[in-house]
Amino acid sequence: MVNPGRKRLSPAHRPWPLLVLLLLFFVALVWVYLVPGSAPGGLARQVDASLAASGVRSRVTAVLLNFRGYDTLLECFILLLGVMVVWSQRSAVTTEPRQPAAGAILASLERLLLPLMILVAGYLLWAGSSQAGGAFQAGAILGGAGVLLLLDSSPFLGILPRKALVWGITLAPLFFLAVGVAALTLGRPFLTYRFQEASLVIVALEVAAAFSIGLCLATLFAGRLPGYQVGPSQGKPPAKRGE
Amino acid sequence: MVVTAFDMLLCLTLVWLAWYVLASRDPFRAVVLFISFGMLMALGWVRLRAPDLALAEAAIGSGLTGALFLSALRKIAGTTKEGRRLERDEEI
Repeated sequence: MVNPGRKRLSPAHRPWPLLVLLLLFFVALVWVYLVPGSAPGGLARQVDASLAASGVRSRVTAVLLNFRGYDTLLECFILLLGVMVVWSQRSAVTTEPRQPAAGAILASLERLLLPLMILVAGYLLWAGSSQAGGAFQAGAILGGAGVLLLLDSSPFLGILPRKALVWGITLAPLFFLAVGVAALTLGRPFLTYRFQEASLVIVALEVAAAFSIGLCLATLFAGRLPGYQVGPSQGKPPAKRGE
Repeated sequence: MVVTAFDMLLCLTLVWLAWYVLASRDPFRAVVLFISFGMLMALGWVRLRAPDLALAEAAIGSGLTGALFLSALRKIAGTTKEGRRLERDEEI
């Protein structure tokens, strides 16, 4: 973007110590990557050896949802925590509506892109069991579709019943936790699957995770709690629906 | 793994971009550079044969984080000198 009015970078404000750190980090990374033997072999062999028992054919998905399912469970909860923190910011303002002209262009863009984005998200979700893709990538695309809708100041998050939104966001963490606890009650270690049902459980988890992640990311972009009025009633909790 | 001239160029561009993101005094410029950094980083992950990471980097690291930064920048516009300038620029 050409912008002659913007100030030139002044060298006095450049953080030189950061540059040194950056270069040191760069050299270390190049060293680890290029010099043979400086990086240990990793766990690739172990993963390959037990891939057949994981229920999926993609190594990454096997690690994320089977071998290290615990990490993914925590990641789901971290996203939930992020949304909770954003919602606790009562004074956060919402994105103001755009000019009608921008709205027209955005609206036609949405009509073109939204179906495609949902299709790509579905494909990535399905492809995740055998190749690159998976819940996080599909969720990110869904989140992007949500952001596109929000940019057009489409109040789809506000129209959704609050309860549906909250359940949608907590779906993946709760489902993940339920799967883990179910294994415990059946006398197996936390978050382990039986071989016969591993594929089914992983795909179900991925669908739930993609949905929740997409909703979480769109909600994060929306900022404040939908339906909460900033104004005279500030400080008062929003009226709860359906209670 | 063969390191090509393109990889070298990619590495140097990434370091150069990272430096400009940190050194930029204009938040808008820093955000735009950050988004370009994410895109090139995704290319880097592809070169390291990690397409999963590349997808996540492009979608979350670059796309959604960039959108969040831009929206945050819009919300804080007017509270800083740079922000006011940003607002004026948008009107032109």
